[in-house]
Amino acid sequence: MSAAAAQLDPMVWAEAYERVENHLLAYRVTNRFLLTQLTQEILAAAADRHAREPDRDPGDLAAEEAEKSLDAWVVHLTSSTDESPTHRAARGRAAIYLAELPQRWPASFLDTQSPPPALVEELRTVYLKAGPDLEFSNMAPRPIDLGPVSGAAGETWRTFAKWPVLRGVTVWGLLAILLATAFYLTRL
Amino acid sequence: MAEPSTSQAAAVARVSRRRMGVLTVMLVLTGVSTLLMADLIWGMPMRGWNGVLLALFALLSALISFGATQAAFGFIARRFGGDPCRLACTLSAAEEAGVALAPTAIVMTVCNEEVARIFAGLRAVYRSVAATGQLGHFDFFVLSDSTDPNAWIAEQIEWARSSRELGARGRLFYRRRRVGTNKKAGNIADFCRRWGRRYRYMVVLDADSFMMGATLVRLVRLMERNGDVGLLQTAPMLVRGETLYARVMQFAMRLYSPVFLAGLNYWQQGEGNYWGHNAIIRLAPFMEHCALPRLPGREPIGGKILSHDFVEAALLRRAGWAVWMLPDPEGSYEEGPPTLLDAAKRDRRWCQGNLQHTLLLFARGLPLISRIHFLLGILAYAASLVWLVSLLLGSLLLIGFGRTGLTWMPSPGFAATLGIPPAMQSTALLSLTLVLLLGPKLLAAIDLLLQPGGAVRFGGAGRMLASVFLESLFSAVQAPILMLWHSRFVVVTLLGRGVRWLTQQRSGPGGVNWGELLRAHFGHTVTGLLWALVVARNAPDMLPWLAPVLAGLVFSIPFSALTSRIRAGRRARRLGLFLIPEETAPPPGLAELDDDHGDEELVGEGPDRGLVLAVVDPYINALHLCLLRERSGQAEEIRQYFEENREKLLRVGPAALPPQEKLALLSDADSMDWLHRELWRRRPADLAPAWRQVLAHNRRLRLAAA
Repeated sequence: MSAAAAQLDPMVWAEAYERVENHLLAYRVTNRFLLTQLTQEILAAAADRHAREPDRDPGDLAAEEAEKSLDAWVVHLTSSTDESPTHRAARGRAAIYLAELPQRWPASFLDTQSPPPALVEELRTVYLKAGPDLEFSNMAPRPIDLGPVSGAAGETWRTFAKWPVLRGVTVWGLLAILLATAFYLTRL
Repeated sequence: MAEPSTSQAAAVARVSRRRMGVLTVMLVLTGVSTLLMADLIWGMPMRGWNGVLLALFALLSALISFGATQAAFGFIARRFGGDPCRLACTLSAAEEAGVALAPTAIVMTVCNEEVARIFAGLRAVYRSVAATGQLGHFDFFVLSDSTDPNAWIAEQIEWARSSRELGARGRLFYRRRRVGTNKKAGNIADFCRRWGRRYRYMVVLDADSFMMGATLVRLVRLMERNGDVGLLQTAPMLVRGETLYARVMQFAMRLYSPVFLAGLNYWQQGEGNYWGHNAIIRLAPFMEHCALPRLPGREPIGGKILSHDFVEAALLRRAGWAVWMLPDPEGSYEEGPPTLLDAAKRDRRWCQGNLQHTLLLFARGLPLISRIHFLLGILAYAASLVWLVSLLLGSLLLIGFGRTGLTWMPSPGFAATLGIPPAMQSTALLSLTLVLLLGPKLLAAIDLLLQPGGAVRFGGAGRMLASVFLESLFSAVQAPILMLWHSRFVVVTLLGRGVRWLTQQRSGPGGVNWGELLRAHFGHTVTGLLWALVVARNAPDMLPWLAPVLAGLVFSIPFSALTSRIRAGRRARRLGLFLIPEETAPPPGLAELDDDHGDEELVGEGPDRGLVLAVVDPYINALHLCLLRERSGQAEEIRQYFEENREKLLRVGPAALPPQEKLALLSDADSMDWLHRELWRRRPADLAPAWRQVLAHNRRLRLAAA
C-alpha cells in the first residue's frame, strides 16, 4: 500500500488504534473515556510522524509512540536514578504497579504535568526491595570423620559404583541365596 | 575444662535415670514377647531357622515396645502435671513480657509448590505476628528454588501483592536461586551466608507451614532465656486435610502425638532432633557448625546429604549446643500429603535420606543420642523390610510343614509344662502384640478424656472413640501396603538407584488418578493374591493369621482410591468423624487461608502461563526484570543463542521451545526486556498465533473490567 493510501485508509488506522488501546489496557487503563483520550493522543503523535515518515506503517508508528510516551512518563514520574535504562523503566513500572496507580489515580495516567502530591508521595515510598542489605558471612562445611566402619562401608559402595558388573554379580548372588533358602525352607 | 556444676551434674544424672527407666521397660516388654515367641516356635523342627525368625521378631518387638514405652512415659508425665524439666518450664507466662526479643528471620523455603497457598500461609503468619505487636523484631523471607517458570513468576506476583497488601515492604523479602545447589539445605545456607549475621535467630518454615504469632514470640523468648539452646523444635500438627486419607492422618497425629511427644521429650531432653521446619535456630552456632559436607561416594548413599535436619541437630549437639523440642502441639502447623500415593512419594525421598545416615552412625565425635536418632530414622523404613522378611520366612516354613503333614508341635514348649496349651500361648502373644500396638492409642484417648473439655474439641467422646476405632482399622489395612513400599524403597536405594526430588502434591483436587493408582498398587494386589493362594493351598490353618496382612494388599486399590477422595473426607467430617480441635475451633489465621486469594485476573493460560505473563504484562515484566540480576558482557555465542531463541519464541510461539530454553530466556534480563517491547511493537500478523490469542485475551479481559 502506498503512503498516501495508508494515510487515508481507515482500516489501517483502526488497526493502529486497536494496538495502542490494547497496550494501554495491559497497563490497566480501563476507564473508557481516558482510554479513548490517551489512545487518540498517541495516534495523533503517530499521525504527525507518519506525515514525516510516510513509508512507515501507521500501526508500527503508533506502537513506537505508545512505548515512547509510556517510558517517558514512567521515568518522569519515578525520578529513577538507576544507571541501566532497562532497570530504570522496569523499576518505574513496578512502582506504578505496587502503588496501584491506574486504579487509584486513573486521571494521572500518562499525565506528565502535575501529579497529585499523594501520588508522588506514594511512588516515593513504594520501592521494590527483594532483600535487606547483604552482610556476607562464611559458612564453610567441616569434614565429618565417618570412622572405620562407615569408611569401610563407603569404600565398598565406591567399589560397587566403580564396577557395576561386580554390583550386578553380588545382587545375583543374593538372589540365588534367597531362592535357595526358599527351596530349602519349603522342604523341611 | 571446668568441672560441671552441681545442678548440671544433677541434670545429667536425672536424664540418665530417665533413659535407663525407658530402656528397662522397653527391654522387659521385648523380653516377655520374645520369650513367648521363643517358647512357641522352639518346639518346631525348623533346622535352625527358629533362631533367625526369633531374631527378626525380637527386633520388631523391640521397636513396637519402644513406641509403647515412650507413650506410657508420656502419658504418666502428662497425667502428673507435665514434665517439670521441659524447656517450657524455664519461662512462665508471668515472666514472658520481661524477656526482650531479638532480631529474627522467618524463612520459608519453597520449590515448585502451590504458590497461592505458600503466600496465603505467609500472610497469615505475618498478620499473626503483627497482632502480637512485636512485628518489628521479625523479617520474612521466601527462599525459592523453583524451576517451573509458572511457579517462579507466580511467586514474584504473589510476593509483590503480599508486600503491598500487608504494607510489608522492607520486611517481606523474596529470593530465588538461579542454581538450586544442595536443595533445601543449600538454600538455607545461602540465606545464612547473605543475611545470617543480621539476625540472632532463624525460624524455618516449610511451604505449607503455619505458625501463630504468639508461638513465634514465645519461641524467641525461650531461646533468649536459655542461652545454651541451639535449636528448638516445635511439634507441627497436620491440618487442612480434605481427603479421607489426610483427615485420618491429621486426626491420628493430633490425638496420639501429645503422649508420644511427651514421652520422647521425657528421655531425650536437651538432646533432641530437628525435623527440618517449624523450628527456631540460633544462627551463630548454626552457621559455624552446620554447613554440611558431601559424604564420600556417590548418591544414593554418598554425595550430598538429603535429610539434612537430623545431621544439623547432631552437629549442633557435637558442638555442645542443646537441641530441645516443645512437645505441646499448640500454634505450629503443617499440611500432610493428601493421598496414600503422595505419602509414598514423600516416603521415597525420606527413605533415601534416612538410609544415608547409616554412614554417619559410626562417625567420630557425635553424641550417642544423635546416633540413636539416626538409627530410629533408618529403622522407620528398614523395619518394613525386616517385617516382610519375617513374614515371608514364616510363610515358607509353614508351607514346608504343610507339605510334610507332620504335627506343628512335636515337642511341647515350657508353657505346656505349666498347663498352657499352644493355642492359648499364641493368643497371649498376639494379645501382647496388640496391646503394644494399640495401647498407646488408648492411652492417648484416655489422656484426652481426662482433660476437661478435651473430647469436645475432637467432636465429643463417642465420635472420638469411634474415630480411634476406625483409624486403627485404617492403619491395619495401610500397614502391609507401606511394608511393601518401604521394603522396595530400601532395596532400590541400596542397589544404588537414587530418587528424583518430586514435589509432593499437598492438596489434591479430589479426583482419583486411576492410571497412577493402578500402576502403584498392581504389584501389591498380585503379591497379596499369590501369597494368599500359596498359603491357602499349603497351610490353610495359617490363613486367618495372615489375613490382616494379605487383605491390606489384596484391597490396596479400592482402599487407596477411597481414601484419596475429598468427598469421602467431607462425608466423614459431616458425620463428626476424625475431627480435630483446629476444625471444631479454628485458631485465628488458619481458617482464613482458603479465602485469601488475589482478586486480579491475569492474562494467559496453559502450560506457559508464567512466561506469557512475564512477556505480555508490563507490570509483571517489570517485577520480573527488577528481580533479575543484570549480566554484563555476554559472550557473542551466548548473545546469539538468546537472540535466536527469543525470535523463535515470538514467531513460532512458546510451544516451539523446550522448557530449558524458556527458563534460560526467563533468566536473562535483556531477553525479557526485549521480548516485552518487541511483542507490543510488532504487527500481530508477525507474531505466532499463540501470542495473538494472548493479546486478544488481554483485550477481552481488560475491556470486561472497564
